[in-house]
Amino acid sequence: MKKFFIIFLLLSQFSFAQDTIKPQILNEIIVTALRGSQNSIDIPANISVISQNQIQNFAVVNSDELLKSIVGINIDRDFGIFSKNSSISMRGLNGSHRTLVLLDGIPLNKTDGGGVNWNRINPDNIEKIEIIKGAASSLYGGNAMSGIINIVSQKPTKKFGGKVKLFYGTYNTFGSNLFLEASNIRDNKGFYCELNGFFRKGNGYIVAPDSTKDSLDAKTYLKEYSSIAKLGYQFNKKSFLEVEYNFSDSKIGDGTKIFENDGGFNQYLTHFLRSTLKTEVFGVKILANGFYQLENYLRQSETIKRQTKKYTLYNTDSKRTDAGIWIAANYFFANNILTFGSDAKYGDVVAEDNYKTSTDILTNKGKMYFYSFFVQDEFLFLEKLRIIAGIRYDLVQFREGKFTIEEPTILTDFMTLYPKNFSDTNWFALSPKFSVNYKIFNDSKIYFSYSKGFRPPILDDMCKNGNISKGFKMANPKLKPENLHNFEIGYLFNIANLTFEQAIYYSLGNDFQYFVGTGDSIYTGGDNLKPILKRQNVGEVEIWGTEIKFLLNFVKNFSFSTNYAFNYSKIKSFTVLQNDKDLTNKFLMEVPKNQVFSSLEWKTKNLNVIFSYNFRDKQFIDDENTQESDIHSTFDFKISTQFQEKFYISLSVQDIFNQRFTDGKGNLSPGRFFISNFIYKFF
Amino acid sequence: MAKKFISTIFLFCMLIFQNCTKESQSNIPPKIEFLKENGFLSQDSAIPMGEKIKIGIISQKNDENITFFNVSLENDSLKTLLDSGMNSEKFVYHCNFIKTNAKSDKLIFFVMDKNRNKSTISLSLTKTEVSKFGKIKNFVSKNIGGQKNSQFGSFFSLNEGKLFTQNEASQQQNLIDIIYYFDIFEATLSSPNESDVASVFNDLTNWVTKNETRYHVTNLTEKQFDEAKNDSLLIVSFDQTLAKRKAKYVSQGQIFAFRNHSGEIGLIKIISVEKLNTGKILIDIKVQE
Repeated sequence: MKKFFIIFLLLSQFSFAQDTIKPQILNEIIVTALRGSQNSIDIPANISVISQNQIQNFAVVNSDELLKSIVGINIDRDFGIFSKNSSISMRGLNGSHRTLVLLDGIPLNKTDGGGVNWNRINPDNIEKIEIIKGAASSLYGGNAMSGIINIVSQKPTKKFGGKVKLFYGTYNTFGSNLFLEASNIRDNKGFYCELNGFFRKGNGYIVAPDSTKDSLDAKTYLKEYSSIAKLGYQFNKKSFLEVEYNFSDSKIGDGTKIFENDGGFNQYLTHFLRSTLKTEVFGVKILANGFYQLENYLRQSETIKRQTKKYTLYNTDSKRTDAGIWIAANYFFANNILTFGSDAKYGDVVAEDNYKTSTDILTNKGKMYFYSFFVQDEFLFLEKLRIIAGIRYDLVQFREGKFTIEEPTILTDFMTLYPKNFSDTNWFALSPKFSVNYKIFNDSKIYFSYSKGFRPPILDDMCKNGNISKGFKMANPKLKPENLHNFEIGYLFNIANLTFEQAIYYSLGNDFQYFVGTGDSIYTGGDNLKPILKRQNVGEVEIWGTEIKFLLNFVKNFSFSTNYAFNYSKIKSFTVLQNDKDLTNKFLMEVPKNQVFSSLEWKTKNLNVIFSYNFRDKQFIDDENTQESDIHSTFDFKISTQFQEKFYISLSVQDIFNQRFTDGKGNLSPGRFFISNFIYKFF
Repeated sequence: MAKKFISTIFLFCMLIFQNCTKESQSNIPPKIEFLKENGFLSQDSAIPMGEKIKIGIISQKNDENITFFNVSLENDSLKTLLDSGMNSEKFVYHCNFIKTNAKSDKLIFFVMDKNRNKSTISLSLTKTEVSKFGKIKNFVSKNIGGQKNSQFGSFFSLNEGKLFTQNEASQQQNLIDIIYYFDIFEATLSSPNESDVASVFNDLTNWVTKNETRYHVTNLTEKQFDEAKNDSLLIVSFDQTLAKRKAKYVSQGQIFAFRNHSGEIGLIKIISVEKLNTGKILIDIKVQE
C-alpha cells in the first residue's frame, strides 16, 4: 500500500512537468440510466464506462475481470479462469444478488439464486460496459440495490466481416473464437446478422495447498463452448428489431476426483433468447425487450470423508427459467423527459438432488411472478439544473413451492418432518427516487440523489431444505425483500488534462436476510446435532463510503488512472429470535474496507502496453466476524500490437509477482497466469 | 466474398452441431447373490433367539458401477442396518447377525448402480421355540480418565478388559474400543473412528487402525442392568438405527447400549462422572463374549 502511494506521488510529480494534452472527457451516451439514451454528464450518479478499447487493452480472460478497473467493485473469482462462477458486488454490499446485471438491457440475475453466470459472457463480444452506482430500483426493480452493470454487446457494422482468435496460456489453457458479421444496411435500412462461436479448455491446477493436499485432490479443469446467432432489421435511424439466440456450455472441475472419470464438477448449460424492438411512435421513444433464459445447472459431487472413509456421490440437476417482457418509453416535451413503462417477469426452478450412493432423490420447485410499472420525470431548469423524481411499484407472487423426498434413507429421512408444500405468498415494493444534477460546465457536474433499492428473496431460500455448512437449512416461503435507502452526493470535474470524480454515500438497509436458528436441532446423518436454520428478515445495515476517481493524460501517449473506494458496512441492529448470536455491530462479510485500482498505459499507433495494480483490503469471511481473509494485491500487465491491419497479437500476465492467496476454505488462487492471443481479421 | 462468407458460416454451423450426441442409459440392474460357502447361511432358516449366524453377499455390476449397498432388517418395523456408498465393479460383504426376539427377522440386501438400477435379495429367519443365549463378560467398576487425567488412561479394550494411556494405545491400536473425554461441557464416550476424537487426542490422526464403536442411550434401569446374566437383554436393547459414534452428555445413572467393530453388543452403566478433563468416569460394562 505504502509503495503504491509513493509510485502514485512520483507519477503525479512527473505529470505536471510534461507538456499537456487534451484530457479524456468522461462524457458519453449512456443507455442504462434512463432506460433510453442519455448523456452521462446529465445523470445524477457515479457512472463508469468500459469502452471496447479498454476491453481489448486490459489483461483479462473473463468478462467480469474488466470490472476490476471500476472504483469500488469487488470481484470474487478466487480460482481465476477456473472459477465455476464469479460474484460481483459494490457499494459496501456483499453478494452478487444485490447488483443488477443486464446484457443489452436484459436482466441476468436469476430468480432461483440471484446470481449471474459470468462465464457465459465472452469478453470479445462486448462493445462496452456501463456501470451506474447507487440504488436504482425506481426504474429497474429487483436486485438494483447497489447499482447496475449493463453489458452492451457488439453489433455488426461491416458488409462482410470476420475474425478468428486463438489463444494459449498457463495450465495448458487454450481456445479459439470465431466471429462473423454481415450487414446490408443502406440509408439506415436493412438486415444485419452475426455468428459467434467460442471454446476454451484448460487442464487447471490443484487448488489445495501442499500442506493439505492428498490423493483425492485433482486439477480444476475447464471446458467451455458458446455460440451466438444474432439477426436484426433496421427500419430507419430510430427503429430496429433484433433477435438473438445464445447457447453456452461451461463445465469446470471442482478439484476432487475419486472414482468418476470427470470427478466432481459444476456445469451450466444455458439457452438464451432475446428480442429487442426499438421504435418511435408519435414522438415517444419505445424500447421493448423480450427474453427467455433456461439454465440447466448440473453438478456432480464426489467426496470421501477423511475420518470415516464414507464415500458419497450425487448429481444435481437444476432447471432454472427466467423469462419476461420489459417495456420502457421516453417522451420529450417542453423541458421534461417523461420515462414510463411496465415490466413483467417470470422465474421458476425445478431442481433435483439425485444420490447415487443412496436411494434418496430430493426435489424442490417454485415459481415467482413479478409485475411492475414505473414513471419518472426529469425536468430541466435553465439548461443547467435537472430535477428527477420517479417511482416504481412491484408486485411479486410466490407460487407452487414444493419440496419432496423420494426413497429416503438415513441420509435424508429427517427432512421428511419438514413441510413439503409451501403456501403461496405475495408482497410488493415501492421504490421512489429523487435527485438533482447541476451541470457546472459542459463536462463537469455536481449532484445529489436519494433512491431506494430492493432485492427479492431467492427461490432457493424459499423452497429448498437441505444441509449447509452451518447446520440444516429449512425453506422459508414467507421471506420478504431486503430494502436499501441510498443518499449520495457527488461531483465530476474535468480541468485541462485532469478528470476528478468523487461520490460520498450513506445507505440504510432494512429487512436484510440472515440465517437464524429455529431453536431446534437435528441429527443429519453425522454424530453431532446440527442446528436448524432458516433465512429471516432480521438485520438492519448501515453503510457509508466514498469513491474517488482520478484520470490524467500527462504526456503524449501516456495515461494514468487511479481510483480508491472506502466502505464502512455494519449491521446496525439484529433481531435475535432463538438464542442466536447477536450480529449487531458486526461488519458485513466479504466487504473490503479499502480498495485501490491504478493503471498506467502507453499507447502508440501499433503498440499498447498497460500495467495495472489492484489492491483489496482484508474482509471478514463469516457473519460473526471471526475470520478475515488476507490482503489481496496483484499487478497485471499486457502488451499488444497490431500489424498489417489484419493481425493482432498480445501477451497478458495476471498476477505478475505470483502472490497466490487463499479463499475462505483455504484453497489457492491460480497465481501468475500468462495468456497469449493471436487474432486474424478476414474479409 | 459472399461465397467465402457463406462457406465460413457453414463450417461454423458444422462445428457447433458436431458434438450434439445423446448419451444412452442402460437399465440392466447389477447382480447380487448370497455366498454359498461353508459357514455362511444362504437360505431361509429357523434358528433360536440369540444365535449368531454368518451371511455373505457377492455383487457384480452390469453396465455401470455399483454405487450403493444397503442392509435392512424387517421384523416389527423396518430398520436400516447398513448404508454404504461405493463406486465398484463388484464387492463381497460378510456380516454376523444375532437372531432377535422377534418371531421372524427378514434381512434385505439391496444394491443400486449409478443409473439407479436396483436389485434385492432377502433371507428370512424364523424363531424356534428354544432360545439360545450367549455368555457375557463383566467389567466392574472401571475408571476411565479424561484426556488430562494423569492417573487413569482414556482408552479401553473390551477384548483385554484393560485401560491404556494414549501412548500405550498408539502401540496397540487394534485393541481399542472405547475412548472417554470431556469436551467443554460434555462427558463423551467415543471410539477411535469418531470424527472429533483426534482433536482431543492428537496422536489419533496418525493411527492406521481406527476401530468404531457405536452407542445410544437406553431406558434401562440400573437394576435391569445388574440382573442381566446372559446376552438376551443386550441384544434386545441395542438399536442400530439410533447408534452414533459417540455418546455425549453422559451422566450418572444412564445405561448405554453399544456395538463394537467386531459386532459384539454390550451395555455400559454410568456409576459416576467427574466433569473435568482431568476427571474420570466410573462404569460397569457387560459385553457378549
